[in-house]
Parts: sequence; structure tokens; C-alpha cells
Amino acid sequence: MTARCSYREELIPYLDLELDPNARRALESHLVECEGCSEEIERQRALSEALASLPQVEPAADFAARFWARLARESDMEPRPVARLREWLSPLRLAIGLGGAAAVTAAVLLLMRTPADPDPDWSIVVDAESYELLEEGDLELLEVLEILEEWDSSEDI
Amino acid sequence: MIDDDAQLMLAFKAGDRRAFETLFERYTPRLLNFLARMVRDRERAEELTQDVFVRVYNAAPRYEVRAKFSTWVFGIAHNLALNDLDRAYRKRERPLLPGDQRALRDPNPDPDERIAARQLGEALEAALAKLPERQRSALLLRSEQGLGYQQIGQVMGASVSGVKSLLHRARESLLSELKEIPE
Ligand SMILES: [Zn+2]
Repeated sequence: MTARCSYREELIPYLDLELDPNARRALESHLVECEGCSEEIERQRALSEALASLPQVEPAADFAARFWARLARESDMEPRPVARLREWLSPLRLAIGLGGAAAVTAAVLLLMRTPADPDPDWSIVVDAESYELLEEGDLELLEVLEILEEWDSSEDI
Repeated sequence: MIDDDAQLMLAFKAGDRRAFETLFERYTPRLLNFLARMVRDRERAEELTQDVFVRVYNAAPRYEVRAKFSTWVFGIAHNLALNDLDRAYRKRERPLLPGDQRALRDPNPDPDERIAARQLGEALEAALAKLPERQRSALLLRSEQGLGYQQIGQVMGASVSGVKSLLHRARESLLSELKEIPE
């Protein structure tokens, strides 16, 4: 066996764009005159192309929803989507808790009191329509709602 | 210089939750592809992808820019993948050498897809799955995820020449497996 061409080791780094300018120029000059390296680089280039065209693995449809629900359970902080839902749903849950269906079907006017807002001057109206929206709404929302219920059982609204 | 993604992570650390959502959307496909081919199990890869993001989320208060964001994130993913492969091996959950690559495949393949291309793709997936873990990781990080050699070295705890050697051996194995495929 003849000794391997000293440029062989640089063919993959060349394709991977890892050669500095001088090394790149030297290799490109060499490729013109070395048949062995030219064949080898075509082989490696074909492999690079095949690797680049592997099919994408797509996440399941509920991947993101499962992640946010899991984050709500496991994270040290409260994730944004949950925080948003919490704002929307707090008066609704209070309404359900207070009087069941009757309280929900009637329009309920609530004053919200939160630690961040000790002097509330705003109000939220919850009516039957928005409750039905929630009922028809996706499982993701309900799942997060359940998590919030667990959290809230230990604190005052 | 601080890359865009590290910038987003700093914004998240400062309280901008939307920055985390952007990182989640941006890195889900990349991490899932990397992890699915590392652990050869799609559902497990989804769990591990989520594990990476939970860690990123919880690390925010202590986050400092020491490397590119992608280096940090793929470092987490690489370690989780290797730990998972160790665990699966101990529990004999998965065959050491997978015979079945269907788990990774699209259940509804494009009917127009050329048979030759599909055969090559399948043979390549199978050959990838047989590679030693560190060779597979290095090759996926370079050829699928576009990381540079130095970055891959940081992810894997290897020198640049070590990365070169892993890539060289990985490619030789793949090419000799693929030689069996008729053109
Ligand atoms: Zn040569």
C-alpha cells in the first residue's frame, strides 16, 4: 500500500467549512491534481448531502401543550401562559365556586384583589357565554385550569 | 459578541417570558431531531426535549453568557441523551442495536417520494443508529445541526482534534454501510 496523501485528513474539515483561508486554498489547488482526493471528496460530499436531506422528525400535535402543562407543575417560576390564564379564569372560578350554575348563568360582577394590585379599581364581567366558551374549549385549557385549582386550594382568592 | 439566542435568554432572565417562548419554538425542532436520532425512540426524544427546556427555564436566574446559547443547550441535550442511553441499556428497555427505524419515520410518507431516495434515507438512518454514541452525536451536531468543531468540542467535552477524529470514523462507518446499497 502506498502512503496516504497528506491532504486526506483535510477533506472532511474542508466540507465542514473548518479550514482557514490558506489551508483552503492549498487544498483546492491540490484537488485539481490529485485524483484520489478528488474521488474521496465526492464520496464525502454525497454523504453530507444525504445527511442534510434526512427527514425532519416532527413533534406530536400536543407537544407544546404538554410542555406548558408540565412546566406549570415542575418549574420554579410561573410560566407566562399560565399567568395569563390565571388572570382570565380567577373570577370565573370564584363564580363557579360561589353558586354553581346559577351564579354562572347570571352575569357576575367581581372586584378582583391581587397582591400585585392592592387597590383595585377595575372589574371583570363573567357571563354564561364565556363559561360555554371554556367548556367547548380545548383540553389544554382545562388541564391548566386543573393545575391552577390545585394551586389555589392552598391560598385565598 | 453575544448571539441572538443568548440575548433572548438574558431577556428571559430579566423577566421577559415571551423570550423563552421564542427560544422554545426555535429550538424544539432542532432538539427533537437531534435527540430522536440519538436515543432512537421518538416518544422518549419528546420527553428529553421537554427536559432540556425545563432545565433551561429553571436555570434562567443563574444564566450567564459563557458560550453560544446553542452550545449550552446542545450540551444539556447531549448529556441527557447519553444518560438516557445508559439507563435504557441497564434496564434493557431498547435493543442495543435497533432493527426497527419505523419509530422515527413519518407515518404518512409523501407518495411521490422517490424510492431510491427513500431507500438511501432508510439505510442512512439504520447506519446512523449503529454508530457509537459519541460518533453519532458529533456527526449529528455537525451535519444536521450545523455546529462548528470547536462548539462540538465544548458540547461533548472533547478537543477539536478529538472531534475531527470522531467525525472521520463516523463517516467511514456510514460510507462502508451504504456501499451495500445498490445505486
Ligand atoms: Zn491527494
